Amino acid sequence: MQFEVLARCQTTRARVCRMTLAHGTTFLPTFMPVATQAAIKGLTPQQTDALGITLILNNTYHLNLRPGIKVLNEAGGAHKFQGWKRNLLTDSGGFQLVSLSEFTKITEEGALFASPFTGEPTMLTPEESIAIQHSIGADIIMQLDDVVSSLTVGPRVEEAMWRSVRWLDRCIAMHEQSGRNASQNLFAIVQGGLDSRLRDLCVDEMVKRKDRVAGYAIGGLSGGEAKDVFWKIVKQCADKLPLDRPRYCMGIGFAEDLLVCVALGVDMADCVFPTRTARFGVALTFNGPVNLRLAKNALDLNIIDDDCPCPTCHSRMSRAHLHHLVTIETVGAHAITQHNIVFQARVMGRARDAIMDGKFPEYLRSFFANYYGNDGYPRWCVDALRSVGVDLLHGVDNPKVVDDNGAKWDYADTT
Amino acid sequence: MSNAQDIFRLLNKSAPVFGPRLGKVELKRPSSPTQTIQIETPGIITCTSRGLVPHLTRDHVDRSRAIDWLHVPFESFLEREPPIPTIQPGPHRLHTFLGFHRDRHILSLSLRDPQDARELPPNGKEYINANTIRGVRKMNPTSWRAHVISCNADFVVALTDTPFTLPPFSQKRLTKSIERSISWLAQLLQPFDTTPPPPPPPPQATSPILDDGQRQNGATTENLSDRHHPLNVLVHMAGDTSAPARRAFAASLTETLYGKEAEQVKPLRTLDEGVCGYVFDLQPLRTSLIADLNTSTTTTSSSNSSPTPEPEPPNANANVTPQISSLMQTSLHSLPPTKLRIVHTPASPHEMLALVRDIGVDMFDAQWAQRAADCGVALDFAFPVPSSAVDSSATDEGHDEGPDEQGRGRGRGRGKTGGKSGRNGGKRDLGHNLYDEVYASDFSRFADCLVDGASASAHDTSSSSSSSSSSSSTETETVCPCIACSPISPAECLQHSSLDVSESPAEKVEVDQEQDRFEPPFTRAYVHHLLHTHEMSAHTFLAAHNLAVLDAFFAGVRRTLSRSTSISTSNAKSNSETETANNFAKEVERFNATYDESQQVFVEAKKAWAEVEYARGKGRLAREKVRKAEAESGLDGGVVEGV
Repeated sequence: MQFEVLARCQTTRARVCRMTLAHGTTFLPTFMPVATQAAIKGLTPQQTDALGITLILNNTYHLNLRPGIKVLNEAGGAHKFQGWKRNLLTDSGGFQLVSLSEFTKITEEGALFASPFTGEPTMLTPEESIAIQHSIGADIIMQLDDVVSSLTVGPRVEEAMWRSVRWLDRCIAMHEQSGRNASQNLFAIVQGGLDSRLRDLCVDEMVKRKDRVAGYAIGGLSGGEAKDVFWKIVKQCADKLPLDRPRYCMGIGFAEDLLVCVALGVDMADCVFPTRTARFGVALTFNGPVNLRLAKNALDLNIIDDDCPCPTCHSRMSRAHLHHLVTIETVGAHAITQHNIVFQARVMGRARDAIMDGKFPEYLRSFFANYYGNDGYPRWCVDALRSVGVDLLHGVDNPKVVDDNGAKWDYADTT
Repeated sequence: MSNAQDIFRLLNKSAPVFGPRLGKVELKRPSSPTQTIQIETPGIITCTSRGLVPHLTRDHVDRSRAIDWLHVPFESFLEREPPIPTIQPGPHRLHTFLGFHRDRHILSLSLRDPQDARELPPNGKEYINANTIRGVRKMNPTSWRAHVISCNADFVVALTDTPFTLPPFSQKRLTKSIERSISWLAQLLQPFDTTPPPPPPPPQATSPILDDGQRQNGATTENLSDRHHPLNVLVHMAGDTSAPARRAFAASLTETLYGKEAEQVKPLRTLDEGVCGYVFDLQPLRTSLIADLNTSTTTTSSSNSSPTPEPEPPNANANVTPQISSLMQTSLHSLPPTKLRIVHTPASPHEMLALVRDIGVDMFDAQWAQRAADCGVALDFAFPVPSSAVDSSATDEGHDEGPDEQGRGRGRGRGKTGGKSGRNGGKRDLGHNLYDEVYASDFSRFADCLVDGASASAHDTSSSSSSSSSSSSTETETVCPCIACSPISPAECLQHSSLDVSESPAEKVEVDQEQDRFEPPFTRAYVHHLLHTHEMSAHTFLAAHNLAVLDAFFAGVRRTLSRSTSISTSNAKSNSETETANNFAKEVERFNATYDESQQVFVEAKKAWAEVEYARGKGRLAREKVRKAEAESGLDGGVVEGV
């Protein structure tokens, strides 16, 4: 991996980086659309490519079950299997073991879980996770970590944190002996729950191994914790992570979360939200989400966003037509998926431009004003950005600040 | 009146009333560079659902060469009042609303979806029932006319009283059906503006198409520009399974009108003068024919008490092509042979070929191929039958494509494919059920009988000399241009920051030629994976591919017909005509002998599709494993092991 910081924001911790991997260059900060089963749902790789996406995510857990390692090896890796020629990242599967399997038992050796095929006990070790990711052949691979729900408290959190550190060592050893260092880059995952002491310890341990890892992820968040806690943990980790390594915040996808994280120093993020919400008929815009299923769109011949370059808006597909399709014809989902992926890319692309131009604080203020202006700024966003020197409310007359988590909803009522 | 002849031209005017024929649909499009859209016939009409091609986004539709004529059922738009396409601003509301291109796409419009033959309440004297997801809607001829004029589609099917109650239908019902359909056709054919008498055609009109259209429809001042082209009316041939009813309907079309009736459609002398083509919806007809079969062969089945949810009625898959063919001949017998003949919902390529051969049908809808994509079948057949297909089916062995790319033949799932191609006396399947486990590690392109773009262009560059002259090898060298077999990396990707721009020029230099940008084809193994993981893009690839295969199939039909005509252009016409027909009939026989018409592969695919639908929920993988273990133990005849 070639990694170069191109510009740093003078106010916040945000930065622009060039990350060059075996399948091309990706500029950071960036959002990674999720192709869990080796496909962005509904799109072909050429379509995703045309959207200006240079890095997507596959899931190790799922690909190991289907198509399986044998098929991936025969195909020559996941890139060839799915016809994707740009960069690819694979999650290690640690999160899915916990979220998808009820009976996972973590031992020091690895994760013991009930095989979804047979129900029999199956062991996924750090070494095996890396071996699977070698078969997949992604440009960025993740360590196997011991994931606990972000709402977990007590000694289990600390245990999981230390185990993640030990497992990182095993992943590093496995990866280095494979000789794949040049083409595949291993990322460590910082754990430690919502406990700032544990997060500090974890970051310290993992930074000690800096020379043997290509980048760092902040894991164990985005699991229902309070937003106020969330941003503080992100900030704490990002502050301590080395400047010359990419930082990846896992499971983040709301536009406001993305921009706060970027301001705190995060370079990469992934989430199923923009593509999943598209399938439910919600299109994302700089003025907030638009729920196309609502009857108010039934006769609306405007497009989603007049300035959007995505194929859906470019072909002038109207809200009324999308309303006619969503949740009935798959094309409705495909068209909004294309739009939402482009929306995420625009949010991040504009951030890159703003940072390069030294105008990131202005971008943050105008984005949040457009996005939340009428409904009220979420307090956690205001606080988080104040912590890095940006006051969203600066120059706003009678700013309205709300205490909820800031999820934007499109209401049926048009008033 | 020669409206029909302007829009549709038979290449050989002396073609017999019934027999294979070549033609050309030509619509004037002043806005397009070529001024016209031309579609060669026989050809395909792409079906739409809710106004779009299922599974294909607009960018995919634009890339498809198979999609030029699309049929749009209007009924889904009746869910809202007013129907949305009718309020779209601009002169070409339907094209604009649905995102089709005026310079590339021909749209035909009917009220009902031709593939929907589900039971509906009886139609009335002044309305027919349409089906929407918000319930049944009534449509009367006046509203239909208003919608049609507003939508400005290229072709419009007049309302027709096809009963969607349970067959069989009494003679009285069929008489009503014919009377209503004729009366509704007449209402549609009224001049655009009934208050002032239609003025004589303006002398300055230059286009013969516009000119005739104007005169015909009485459309006056507006259609000088491209804004209001004349209505091109298609009529569905009513009469169900009754030959006398069909004769009566045809007679009503051609009889000279008098008095009030003549006044209504002035200046037309007969209704047929205002009609540019004849439509046959085979789906309801097939339902009736099968019902007839059942009443004549079996006593009424006691299916009501059957415990299974949807019992297959007896003879459900009976081959009724001969009966269909004969009924179509009855309808067309007394009508001018020069007008378009359109068939919706043919059951198979075999049926399409039979109707080209025995009737001279010009356009078929692609519902069969599109439906195959829905259930996971990648079509793989060609006309005329490629020699490779015959060879491999004869040897019952995996099919080797000769000079092929690396690894292509690997793991082609020989055993099982070979076994399956042995069904029905050694016939080949029309496609591959990609749900089947034999494709799990089959890294070949979808179709054996069509080449993918990447290997075709590699072949071109390696042997740069004109390979087209060697006719023996080029037979199987037809390229499948679909997004699955010939994926093209985008010429331009969106750029989201100024940095992105700085990065792209280096790449761009090399990729100016489209054929240089071909990427390797998507594989059966990948789509197998997508189908089993319930990923929607499986159906996107298959829909695009299957349309391309059917399009290539009809290109082959036209090639066969034109090859035999061109041999003897200047010779005695009658001789060449029979020769053409005979050659074509021979190829059809070869096709029928090669490919399995019973379509067992579809039955299997639909079953697998239903299983995945069922299994997508929690615990799906566990159930799958059990099935697999059962299947394996069944093969071995051994005992199930507790693994």
